[in-house]
Amino acid sequence: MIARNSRTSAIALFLLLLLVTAGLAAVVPQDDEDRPVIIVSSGSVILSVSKGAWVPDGAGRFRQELPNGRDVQSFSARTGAGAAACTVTGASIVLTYGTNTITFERAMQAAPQRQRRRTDVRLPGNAAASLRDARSLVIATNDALVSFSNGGNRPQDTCRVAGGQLEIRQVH
Amino acid sequence: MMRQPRTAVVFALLVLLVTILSSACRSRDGDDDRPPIIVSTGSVIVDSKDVAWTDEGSGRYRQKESKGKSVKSFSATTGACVVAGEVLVVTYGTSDITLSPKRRWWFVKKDAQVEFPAGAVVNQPESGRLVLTTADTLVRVANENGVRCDVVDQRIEIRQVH
Repeated sequence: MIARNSRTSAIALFLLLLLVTAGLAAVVPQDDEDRPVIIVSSGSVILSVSKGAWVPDGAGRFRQELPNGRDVQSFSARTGAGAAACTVTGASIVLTYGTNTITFERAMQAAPQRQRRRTDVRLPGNAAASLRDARSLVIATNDALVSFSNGGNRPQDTCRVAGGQLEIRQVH
Repeated sequence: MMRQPRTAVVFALLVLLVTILSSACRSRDGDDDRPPIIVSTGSVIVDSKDVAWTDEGSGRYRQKESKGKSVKSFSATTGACVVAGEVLVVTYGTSDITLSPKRRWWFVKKDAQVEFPAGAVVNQPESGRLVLTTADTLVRVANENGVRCDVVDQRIEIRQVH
């Protein structure tokens, strides 16, 4: 009887000790490290076209190749929808993401279509750009799309990007 | 008598001009319209600064850090808006990412767990950095009580509260 009692007491004591230890471990974790901040952000910028192809042209440049494409006379860039839509037109469009810029500009096609202009894209020198497929140019970045402009200084020359997307029409 | 060859030359030049013009017009009709260029964001990144995420399956990732303090709740800041809670739901497009504290075992500290929607394409190209492939943008972050912030500049900073 005494032996049984002492065994029960020993088990109870052991469980109590275990509980106190676990409790202390949970309450006094001062030596533990602060967990890091978690940043959730948009992760890349994609330039996509429904036909033709993006072709690397060296030094952070890509050209939009469409062999029978019409002459590009200007650009019309638009973001948002309905009454909140914002449009900018110009001979070139400068898109800002974070503190970097991407420039859309016209360039003469090589022979035999020398009389026509195509669209060239100029990326920042250190941009990590890759082709996901021939029609999708991906720039790896943590920066979000901010605004685009035709280079003018008037308020109507710049739009803030809405909904993380804009459409740039190549005007013929 | 001398005028005939000159007329022939003028005629030939005229024919040449008409041919060039008609060819130019025909070529314009046959050319393709250049497509619009769509510029969009292509992914959502969940970055915890070098502390790796462990893949738990079913779209769940846990930040197992043996020496990390127990996570009690979260506090998210975007622009000037702050929302805090035990569970945070980040909405991108029409989908949600859920962040919650998860106990590892009985009596053991809690880790942060992030849960992506079923079918989401997620990878960890470098330690601590989860990349979700999507064309959708970040919309809002909300807590379990429905308090919410609309995302500003496509960025949310989430503190793990101990």
